Amino acid sequence: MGKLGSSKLITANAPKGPWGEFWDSYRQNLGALIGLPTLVLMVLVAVFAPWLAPYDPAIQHTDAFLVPPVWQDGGSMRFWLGTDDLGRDMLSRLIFGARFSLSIALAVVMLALAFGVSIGALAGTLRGIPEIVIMRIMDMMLALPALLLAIVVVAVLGASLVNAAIAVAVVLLPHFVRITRASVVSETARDYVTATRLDGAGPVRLFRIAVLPNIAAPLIVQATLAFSSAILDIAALGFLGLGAQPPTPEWGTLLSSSREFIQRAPWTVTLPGVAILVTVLATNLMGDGLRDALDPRLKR
Amino acid sequence: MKPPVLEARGLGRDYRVRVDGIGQVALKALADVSFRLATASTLAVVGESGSGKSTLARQLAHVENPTTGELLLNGENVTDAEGDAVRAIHRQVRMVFQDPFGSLNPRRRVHQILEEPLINYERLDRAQRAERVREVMEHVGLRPEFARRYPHMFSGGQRQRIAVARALILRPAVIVADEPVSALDVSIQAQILNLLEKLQEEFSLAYVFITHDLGVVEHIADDVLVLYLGRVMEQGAAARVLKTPAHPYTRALLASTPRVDPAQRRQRVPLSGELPSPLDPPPGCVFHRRCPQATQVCREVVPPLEQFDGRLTACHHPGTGKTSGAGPTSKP
Repeated sequence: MGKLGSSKLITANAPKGPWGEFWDSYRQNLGALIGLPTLVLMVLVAVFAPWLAPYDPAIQHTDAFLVPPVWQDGGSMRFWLGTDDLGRDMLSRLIFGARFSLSIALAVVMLALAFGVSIGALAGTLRGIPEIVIMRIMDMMLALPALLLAIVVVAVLGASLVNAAIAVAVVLLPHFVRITRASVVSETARDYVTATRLDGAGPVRLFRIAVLPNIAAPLIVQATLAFSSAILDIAALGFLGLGAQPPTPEWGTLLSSSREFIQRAPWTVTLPGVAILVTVLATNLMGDGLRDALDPRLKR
Repeated sequence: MKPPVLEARGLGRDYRVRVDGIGQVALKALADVSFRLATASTLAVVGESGSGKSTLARQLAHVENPTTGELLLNGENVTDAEGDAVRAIHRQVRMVFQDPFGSLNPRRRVHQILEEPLINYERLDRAQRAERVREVMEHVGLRPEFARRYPHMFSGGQRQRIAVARALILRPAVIVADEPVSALDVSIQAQILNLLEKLQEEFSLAYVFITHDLGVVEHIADDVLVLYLGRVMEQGAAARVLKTPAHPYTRALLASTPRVDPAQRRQRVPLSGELPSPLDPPPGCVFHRRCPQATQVCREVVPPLEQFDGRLTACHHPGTGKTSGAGPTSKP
């Protein structure tokens, strides 16, 4: 997908100056070099969906039900990727689906990041009993299979896209809490944190200027990887009917709504699946590259 | 007489440590340290690694509160200070850390690092802060143009100058320096020591100077305090203690200091063995297991810190070492 624009995108994104070292390290990783432009492309598609999509994703073309994609017999240039059982243009639905999937995943990660960092920072700063309580709760959450936990949360809150997002954020939360706590504990032992405390910085300021900037790297890596799990989990909940509700062109919902046509019209199921696969793969490749570039323990 | 700017009376620090099979045990990292530090003077604290030097520094700078004894700042008892009182101490007693690569936040520019104490302790506007930063950078011999750089762009010596500037910018009364030159090249060490001496004259600063290098002590100290396993072994005027050490441990430390001039090299046995565990200090004198002059009394009775030849020493057999080799003399 990212082939045509990739070389241009790389030069356009090449960071200069203080980012140079990061970039040198990042581009050692071929997968990351493929992942980044692919994801950038996805984001651009999502942002410019109304201009890129040939049709309104909800409009039914009553003269064209289950039209195959252009490369198959019976396909036409009118619907590049065919239509679904209600005559809606697949390409438009996928393009708008990128909007939903990516923005929900982003919101989920932001939510998990904000709460995870706060709770983890609290555990790492307070130590003692609060730390033990928080960390054991996180361990319990980690012990449950992610999707099962998400289903339980949605079952409690009710099925909707917002609740699905909250559920997935809850699933992702313990990872951020654990990483933050561990980093905060090791970071607060550093001399510059003590020095900043002696300089009179209060606990919040201390965390913001001395601790947080120095533990950002593992959190960025985790956020990237969490982004791909969020896409996957949101899609899974959508597929189960617990996430976005039907006319919404969310990728997981697209998958499930055309499930029954898998024999007659495989493209209606395959294409959303491919969209999910490509996005998740690109994000994971980028996450691996970021990890290589940002994690000092893996520095070559 | 003016009260000393910083005074310690029987200062001690215990840490609770969990030991397998025994449970919580009190580790005496520091016990019964007393001294008086006058304005514009320097107290050097010497001892091996693990002797409690850094623990003492942390108590004095109020990084943590001492468990026993009293700490007086300008004659005022600040031992159990809390809240605003601690802030007042942090402002008066500043600290310089050993490792200039670990004590500067890598994500902040030099001017941000130097401004931090001003932001928290003083109400100044941006221009006034910038002026103070420029001023203090000149005092420590850094070009003010460097203010916008990050710490990693500096050498070890320059970084330590930044650390000194951070301590200095609040115009404190006392600077506690925890081995400020031991992480630096020898040539750079001299520069930093000279800088510290210059600043002491300019600002009437009192220094508590933690070090394991007696060569450095000779250079800068007025008084010396020798620590071993958290206990004071010998304490007094630097000139006297270094010239005629009374405690065998002080002599051993002196013997292990490298000398360039062969005439100055001392013919004494250096230390053997290792520091005992502070969890299980030896009975009697804590130094007896490594002491060449130990006798039965050393193994049983803790020697008190007493006057001997113009300084304080905690030894059953104090001497100036001139008679070393002769049998231990018993005390009256």
